[in-house]
Amino acid sequence: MRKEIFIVSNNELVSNEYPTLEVDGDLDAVFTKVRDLVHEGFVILTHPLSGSVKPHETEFKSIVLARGNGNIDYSSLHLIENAINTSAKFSRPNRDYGKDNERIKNDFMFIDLSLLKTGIEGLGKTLYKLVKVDI
Amino acid sequence: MQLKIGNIYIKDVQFSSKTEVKNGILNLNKDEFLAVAGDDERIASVDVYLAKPGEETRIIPVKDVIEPRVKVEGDGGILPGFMCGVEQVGNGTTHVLKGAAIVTTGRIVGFQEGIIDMSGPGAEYTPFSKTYNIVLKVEPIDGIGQHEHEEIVRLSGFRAGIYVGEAGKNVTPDDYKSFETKPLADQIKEYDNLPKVVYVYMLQTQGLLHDTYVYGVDAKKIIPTFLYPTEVFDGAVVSGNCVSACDKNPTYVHMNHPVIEELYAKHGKEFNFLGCIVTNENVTLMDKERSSNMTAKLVEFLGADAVIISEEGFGNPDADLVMNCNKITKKGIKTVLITDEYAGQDGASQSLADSTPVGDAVITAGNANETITLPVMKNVIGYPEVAEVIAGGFQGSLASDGSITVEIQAITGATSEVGYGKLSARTY
Repeated sequence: MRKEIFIVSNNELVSNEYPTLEVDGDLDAVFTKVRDLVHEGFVILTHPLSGSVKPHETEFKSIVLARGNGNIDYSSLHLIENAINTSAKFSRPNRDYGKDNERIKNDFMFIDLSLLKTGIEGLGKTLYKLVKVDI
Repeated sequence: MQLKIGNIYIKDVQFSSKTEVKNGILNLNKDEFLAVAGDDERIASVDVYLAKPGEETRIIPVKDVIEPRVKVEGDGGILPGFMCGVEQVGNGTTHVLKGAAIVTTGRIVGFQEGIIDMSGPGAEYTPFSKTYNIVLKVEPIDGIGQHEHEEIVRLSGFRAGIYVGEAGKNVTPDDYKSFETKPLADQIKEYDNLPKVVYVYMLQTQGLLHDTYVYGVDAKKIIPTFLYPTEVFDGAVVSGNCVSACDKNPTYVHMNHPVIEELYAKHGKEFNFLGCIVTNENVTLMDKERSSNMTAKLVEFLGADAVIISEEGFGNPDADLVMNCNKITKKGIKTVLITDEYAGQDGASQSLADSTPVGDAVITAGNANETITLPVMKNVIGYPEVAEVIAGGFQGSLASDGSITVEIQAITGATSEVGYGKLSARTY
């Protein structure tokens, strides 16, 4: 039986292409949503700190989760708590790119999508099934 | 596997009618060079600039740095899987134009990555302020996507590196260095009284602008495997990544791998260096589990007493570093880790995004959040117009006098996690 997995994201390039649990907010809002879901028993499948574009540069983030066995997955909790702490270290956001604003935001969205695709392809289709969830 | 590296020391570079090395001067035929570098129907234009040590020149954004090398004897060539076939490289004789470098610049994405200053305070943080740089600026035709754009710039740099390297083919090197690793059973016997050491060589492999290639293969798709260390000196491992340029290894650094060179320097004296395991740093936890399991298995199988593990990057790969450390330690094998830190601008925060109590021998390559002010430069090569939008830049980075204050993560090679830099820390 394949396990149902889903994407949590604030990136519209991702939600245009995949079934997505959309977050209306910045990167920290995605992290917070994922942390809450981990407390509800969901498990993280892709690293929250994927990519070298730093939290103070990009606001876009997509993370893949799966339903767990009903208990809190402490590895997932460790991952997301560390990601939140790491994000807090980059405290001075630079998200105003002047006249290049749209292009650069699009580049950040595109890189997030590219890294997510790498992740989705890495998860064998035999084990997982990507679904839209309503949580 | 035995490789002789013949160093031809380059003291200057200049444009000339013929590409050749004469009395330590690299002469470059500009038209020929551009024809080779631009030989891709997806390229609209290429241009070349020279940047020399001490000049008031800034190169931004740097995508890759390649050292000109040429194979003069032995199997295969340089940059296998890209610029020659896929014969096993790492044997015979290779000539190097030591002191020269090809630097590629291209505006693949809107935000800027990688600074090389040829003088001033920033120059102290990058090894490429000391090389004679042939800077290649590549513009693709319209309608090219980011993945393809990255590939176009990368391959153009490789072609340029091979073209310039050929100039050293018939030149007598100033000195030679020899490196040898025997097949495993023989290598163990050769120094059977010394501890056996393996190098776990982690590669950045997360996706667009975060990739590395081994013999032409995208390393995110490899199962960790064994390399004779000399294979790396012929370009078996190449860079396709540059985001947060401080701790990414340009192709030049792979070719001059300081950890491998240092392990060879102590080989047969302090320990028996058996070879390298290349492994990746992927996005999914499943890939991380698979690769760290395979790496630990290979280390055990080779009979290592100790390993050196180096990371490439920060954040996500911290998890791979910790998994490798835990699993190898569990097999009773000692580990030494090499990483850099993101400890906040004041250096007071936790350095890594993951940790382990068995990671008790760690070398740091510096704190990438440390800030530096880079003065205005007379010449800027590349794309200076959005200098503020760089990794490590922040609101207000660009001052009215044109100087930029950035975290050192914006400087190419500033916190090299294979030690191709100057930063570290010691406790006594």
